[in-house]
Parts: sequence; C-alpha cells; structure tokens
Amino acid sequence: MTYRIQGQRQEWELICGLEVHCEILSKSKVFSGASAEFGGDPNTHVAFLDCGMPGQLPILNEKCVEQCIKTGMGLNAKINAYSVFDRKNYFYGDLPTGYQITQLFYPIVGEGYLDVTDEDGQTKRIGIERLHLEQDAGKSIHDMHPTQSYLDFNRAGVGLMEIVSKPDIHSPEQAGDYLRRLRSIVRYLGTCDGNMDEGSMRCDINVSVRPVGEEGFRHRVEIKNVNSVKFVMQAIDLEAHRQVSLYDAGKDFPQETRLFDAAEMETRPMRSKENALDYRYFPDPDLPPLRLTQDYIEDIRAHLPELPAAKKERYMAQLGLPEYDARILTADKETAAYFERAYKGRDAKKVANWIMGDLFGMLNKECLSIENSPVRPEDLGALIDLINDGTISGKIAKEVFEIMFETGKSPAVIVEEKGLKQVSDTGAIEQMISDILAANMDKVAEIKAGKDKLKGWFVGQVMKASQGKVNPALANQLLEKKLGEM
Amino acid sequence: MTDLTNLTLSETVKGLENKEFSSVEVTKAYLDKMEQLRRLNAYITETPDVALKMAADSDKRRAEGKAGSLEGVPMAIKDMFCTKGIRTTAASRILSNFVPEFEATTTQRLWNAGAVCLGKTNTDEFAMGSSTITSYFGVTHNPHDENRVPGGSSGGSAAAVAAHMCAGATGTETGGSIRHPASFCQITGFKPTYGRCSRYGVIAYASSLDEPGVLGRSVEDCARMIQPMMGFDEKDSTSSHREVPDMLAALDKNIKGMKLGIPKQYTELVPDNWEPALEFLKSEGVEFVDIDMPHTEEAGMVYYVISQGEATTNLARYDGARYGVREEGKTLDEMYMNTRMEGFGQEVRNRMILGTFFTSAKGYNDYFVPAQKMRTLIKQDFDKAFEKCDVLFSPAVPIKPFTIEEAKHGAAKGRFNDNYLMPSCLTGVPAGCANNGLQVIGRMWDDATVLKVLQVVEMSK
Repeated sequence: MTYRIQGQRQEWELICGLEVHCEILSKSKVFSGASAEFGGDPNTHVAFLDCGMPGQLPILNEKCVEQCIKTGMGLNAKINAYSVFDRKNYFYGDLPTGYQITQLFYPIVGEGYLDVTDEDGQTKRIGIERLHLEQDAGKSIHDMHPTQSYLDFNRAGVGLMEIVSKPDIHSPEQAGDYLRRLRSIVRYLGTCDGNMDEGSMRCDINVSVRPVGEEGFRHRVEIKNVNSVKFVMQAIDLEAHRQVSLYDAGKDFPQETRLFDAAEMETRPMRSKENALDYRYFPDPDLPPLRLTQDYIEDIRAHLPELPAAKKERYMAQLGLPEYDARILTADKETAAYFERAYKGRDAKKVANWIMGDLFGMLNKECLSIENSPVRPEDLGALIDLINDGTISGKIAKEVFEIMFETGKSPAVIVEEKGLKQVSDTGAIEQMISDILAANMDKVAEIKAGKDKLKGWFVGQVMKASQGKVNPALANQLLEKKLGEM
Repeated sequence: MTDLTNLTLSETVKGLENKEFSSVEVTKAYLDKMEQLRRLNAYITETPDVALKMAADSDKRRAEGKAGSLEGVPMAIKDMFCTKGIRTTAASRILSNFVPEFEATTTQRLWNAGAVCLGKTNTDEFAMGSSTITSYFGVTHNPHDENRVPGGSSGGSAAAVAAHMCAGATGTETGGSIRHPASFCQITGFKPTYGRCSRYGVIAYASSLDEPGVLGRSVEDCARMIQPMMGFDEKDSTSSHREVPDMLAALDKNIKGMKLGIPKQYTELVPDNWEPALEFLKSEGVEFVDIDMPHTEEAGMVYYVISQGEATTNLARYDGARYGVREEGKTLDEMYMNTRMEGFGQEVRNRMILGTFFTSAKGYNDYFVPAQKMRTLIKQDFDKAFEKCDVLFSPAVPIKPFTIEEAKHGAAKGRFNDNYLMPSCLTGVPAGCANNGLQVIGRMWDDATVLKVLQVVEMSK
C-alpha cells in the first residue's frame, strides 16, 4: 500500500532524499600514503598531512578515483571527465587542517539511478543526483576524561564517496531498499565494505512532507548520521509524522538539522550553532582539476564485475529461475557466489530451493553469514547429485544435510559412514512389501474394493520400514506388482 | 687569509673545488660574520652546530671525490621552509616552538647538492608583508642603512646575503617577496616559473601564488642555487614534469637581437639608473618594444583577494590542538580563539578576517570569483606581450627603502611599493631582480632566458 500519513484534514505524502557516505576500500588514504585500514591503535595510521602539519600537500590516490568511477557505473551514472576538488572550511578538533577536501562544484560522478522494490513489490526508480570524492575527518573521543577530549586521526583523510539521491523516495520501505541495494552494489564492486556498524557506510536523511496532490517542496529537515537500515526507516517515519502533526497544529518549523535518538525513538534538533555554518567553499589550489580520458574510463567499465541487477536478469533468462528466487540469490555478492559454486550446471531451481530453504534456515538459526557456512557450496551440489542419481532419497538428503551442517563433512562420506544408501535390491524390497501386505490384509481388501488412496499408506509403511532408504518410485512400482499378483 | 665571506657563491664553489679552503673554514667565516652582525636580526635561528657538522661531512665527501654542485657552500634558509630537526617558525609566535619531522623538497635538494645550513632567516609573519617588520622575532635591519627596512617578506634572507652573512639564501615569493627585498638590499633575487620548485614542506601562505626561489649576490650565484631546487616532485601535485634546462649554460652574456618589452605601466616612476641601463642594453644589441599591460592597475586588488582568501584556509590548521603554541580555554572554541588571538600578530589577523570575508558565501561571488576572472585578464596581458617580445624589462621597486618608522606607519601600502611585481606573481611567470634593482620577466617555463638577460642587466651598474 502506498505510504501516506493521515493528518487531521488531509493525507500527506513523504518526500525524502538520502546522502550516503561510503568509506572507500583502498590500501591508503585519499591524499596521503597512510594506511586506510579500519582500527589500529589511535594515531598509528597518520601521515604528516593527516595531522595537518605545515607545508604538507595532498597527492590524489588513483585507487580512490577508480573506486568512485566503478561505483558511479554501478549506479548507472555519468562519469565526469573533468572534476575539481574544493575546500570546505570549518573548525573542529578532529578536522586537522581546518578544511575538508571535497567536490562541490564539479563532482566526479553525475546523474544516475538505482531501481528499488517498494512496499507493493513494484519496481521504483530512485534518481542519483551525484557522487563525489572527499576525505573523512578524524575522531573526537569525549568520554576518556572529565574535562578533556582526545583525538584520533587514524580515520582522518580516509577516502569517502558521498552518494546523493534525488528526492524521489516516498516511503521508509523505499529508503530501506535503496540502502540495501546500494550496499549490495558497493560490495559487489569491492569499493566499500558497506559495514554500517563500523561506520564505513553512514546516512544523512532529508525529509519533508506535503499534502497529496500539492506541487513543490515544503521545509526540509536533515537528520544526520543514522547508522543502520532499520534506524533510517524509523527516523524517516518518525520525522514525517512529527512534521504532519506540526502542520496540523498550525505550527511552523525551521529548516534545520536534527539527530535521531534510537533509544528515545525521537528526532531532536542539533545545536543551532551547527546549523549556521558558512563553509566558504572554494577550489583547492593544492590540487589541479582531475581530468580523465575516455580510454581510462572505458577500461574500468570493461573490467567491471556483473552487478546484481544484471545477474538477476541472467538467472531468470538463462537459468529459468523465478523473479523472486533470482532477486534473493543476487541480493548480495556472497549469496550469488555461493549459488554459482553450488549450481555448476545442475538444476538451478533445485539448487535455489536448497539454498533458500534448508541452508538459509540453518544459517539463520545459528546466526551465521553465508561466507561462514559450514556446508561448502560444492558439497551442497554433490548432495543434490546424490538425490538425482538415486543414491539417496530426498528425505535422507535432509538428514545428510543436517549432518553436513554440523560436521562440515562431504555428503558422500556421510552417506557411506551412516549406511544411508538407498536400497535398490528389488528382491529385498519385494520381501519387505510382502511382509507389510501380509500384516495388513484388511487394508488390502479395502484397496481391492476400490479405495486406491490406501496405496500411498502402504508406500509410507515401506519407507518407514526401510528408514527411508527405498526409492519411493520403486516402492510404488513393486507394490502395484504385488497387489496385482494377489 | 682574505675574508672568505667576501667571495660570491660562485667564487666559493670554485675555491672549494680548487681546495683553496675547506667548507669548515668558509662556514666558520660566515658563522663569525653572523655573530658580528647579529644586531641586523637577519636570522631567527642560527644553527652553528648543524652548520659545522654539515661542513665537516661535506669536506669528507669532497675528499672522497663525491662533491655535489653546491658542495660545502654555506647557505641561509628562509624560515618558511620546514627543516627536519631545526625549529621552523614562519616568524610567528604560534609556531615559535615547532620543530618539523620532515624536510622541504627544495632544501633537501640543496643539502643533496652539498650545501651547508647556517640557519633560518627572518621574514614577515607567514610571509605577509614587504618590510620584515611583522615578525614575532623583531624587525630586520637593512645592512646598507640600519634605520631602514630590508624589504620583504624575504627580508632576513636579503639582509643576510647583502651583509655577507651567508653565500646565498632561499626565499619565497607570493606577491613579490623575493624581488622586493632583493631590490631594497641591492642583491639579486630570482623566482622561477610556478611549478618549477616543489612547495612541499614550504609553509603555505597562498598556495596558487607561493613560489620558492633564491637570493644571491649575482645572477650566476642565483643560477647555481636554483638549478638543483627545480624539477618535478611527486609530493606536490602542482609541480611540473617539464625537463629543467641548464641555467648556468644559458648565461652566455649574448643578448644581441633580443626583443625587450617595456610595459608602459611599469615606467610611471623610474629610478636614476633606468636610463643608463637602457643605453647600455641598446649597446648590447637589444631591441626595445613598447608594451601595454592594461590590467596592471587591478593586480593589487586581485592579489589581496586571492592571497588572503587562500591564506585564511591555509592558516586554519594553526589551532593549538596538535602542535605549536596553545593558549588554553574552557571550551574548544575558547581555546581556538585564545590560541589564534595570542598566536598570530595583528597583520596576519587582519588578513585572516578579510580572507574569511572574501571566501564567505557573499564575498565569494562579489570578490573571489571576479578576482579569478581578472587574474585571467592579467594573464592575457602577458600572453599578448610575449607575442611581441622575448622578455619584459622594468624597474622592480622604483622607490628607495623606507625607514622602519615609516614602515610601521604603512609606507609599504604606497602605490609604487609592489605594483611592478604583483602582476607577474598572479601569472606564475619567471622573474628576477638584478642587484641594481631592475627586473626581467619571462615567458612561462623560460626561466633560463630570464637569468640570461638578467645577467647582462646586472653588468649595467
């Protein structure tokens, strides 16, 4: 159902745009040679530039440029052959030079889009305004001492991609799916680890509302630094309702910056001082404009891995998977990789069922990610082969799978060790059937009288007696034969 | 033995080569001179121990046959260049305790060529000025008349060269800070094309204008010093990959048939030696061409907007948080305010405030953007001029050095103080001032021709 907020007099619609900061995966920082790795003892990943020493100059890290271009391509966006670095000026303890190098006027990536699935299961296209390259700040630590703050510059100067969407988002669900898909894309591309807990992906939200049918935009509120998909969705919903209730009450509110408090489930204003900044942007004279040749851009495009949207289309067209399965399997890079290793020319739908059913179930239960699955994808494939060639029945396979999950052993070894091979000695099965029929002559009589359904009951009995080791089709065939002889 | 400090840098190089004296000997002679003339206040920091150690190492290298092009030559370094292990202050209280852990590329290249470091010279605070009177470490006196200023901002270097307290010195030029004190102290100053010398390790004033250069007692001295300093540096994105020509080889004293352009805007006021110099150069076979530089008048304003705009962000890092002097406060903002109020002098604070305005949301469109456009027009003046001539020739600073008292009352704001210097700073072209106060400005990257002509100009004393 379309997301609407019911006000006192009318229905309101949500207008929302997201600014997502992604920390770029690269060995070194964007303008210095210091390590860009997360963590480390405080102030151990710091070059002279990163602590703002006099006379230090920024040197652009080409890897970061490449990562931005890749991400831009993942967002179906225009790559700008000409971009410029600007200084954004403000004072804060963790900003070592007193300015952040960013791209205001000429970003490296221009307009693009991302398709998301909305609350009705419909595809909704969200426009991308731009992606620009900038540096991260350091970290202020205020809780180590009652009156002093500590500074850690390990993160200062790590490359960031800021990805700005157009105000095309109209529900918390769309925002949530936008973030999940964005994370999936950067992870597929290896341009950001997408880890919101560690702050390598952070989100600023712009929220406004307007009565359904109204044109133009009303006052917008920015919610800073929200750090999970769930919180982003909650913050949007809360803020939209807050704005509607203010309009209902006839109250005006300022265009301001607010913080989301997940514990209190509310948004509240940041200090007004933090709103009133003039960042005095101007081109950084230490860095010449960045000029990219078409060859350079196209070379990167040629080496791009297959992205989730394309992969999903391929799974549907080539492997014949239903849309739902293809979407789930391609939602993240690791699941797709697992599927492809397990698939290897087998029946795609069967492989998909095993992954989305038994494997996901067990992983969820044990709180494991698919990369850490105790069942290797090749072993899952082998298990499916054992069913197909009649070595084990589907029922036994479930049992084998559980053992695989517990022990990490290959299915062939488990089947051998536990003696789970399907019985295909017809003589033995015929004997088993004769015994069962002899013990249940009353039911045989009923079948003879026309109650065909009871045949299924007999097959079940055979399976039970054989502990599932008999191929049910074979059991059925032999049962017919025996009944016919009677 | 004669006073070794009377030799030019070129003569010192030759004397050392011929083993007439050692680097330790010539270094000691300069250290003595520095002590005798300490009252000039040319140096902020003298480094006699470092100098003697470097001189001894140099003598050892020479004995081993590994001499560089400046082997054993004692030099002074403007205190805007970061020198590893040697206090570097930018003549500011805020950096008065700052000892860098790294070395500027240009000074490292001088040491690699064998030069010896005598110490760090005085300058206007953060190189903002043209009198060397705004230094936290006091004024520098002009060796030719101690009541007068040496010019600036590289006034400490110029005074040290003029008073023979070093064989040569480095300087930096943002709006004329090498040529101006060279003119006031009657020595030679040269700033190469923007991009020739790496700015890595040079404390930034205005990044798009700052250019490291040299001051010496002759053009040949300058050529010898600047040669190893130039060339691409991977630590500076604005440094050029262009090959560096041989500067000394260009000094053939033959300028016959060359076209010297005389900008009419640069000859409104001329010094006494101007006419004789024209006569002399004519006799050397040059042709003079009248040049119109219509946007000269705007250069001063453009310079102030751009340099102060850039400076205000370049100096934002001096906040007391990580290094330098800190004045405590109850809050972070209060600490910033106290530190910057007490750490910077009045002139620097004035320029910060104006620069903040020029880059503010309003000032940017009203001042900064128009200034950038005007800078382009000024550059076009030069492009057009160089279609008609090989170099430009004019006085550098057509006035005599003012007294320290006059300087304190704003004499440096006079219109003839730097209006012949500013336009060439805004365009990045190479320029030099001869030891007779006359300047030569060349095409982009044509540094060698500037020095070549400048050497002949210097012969017209």
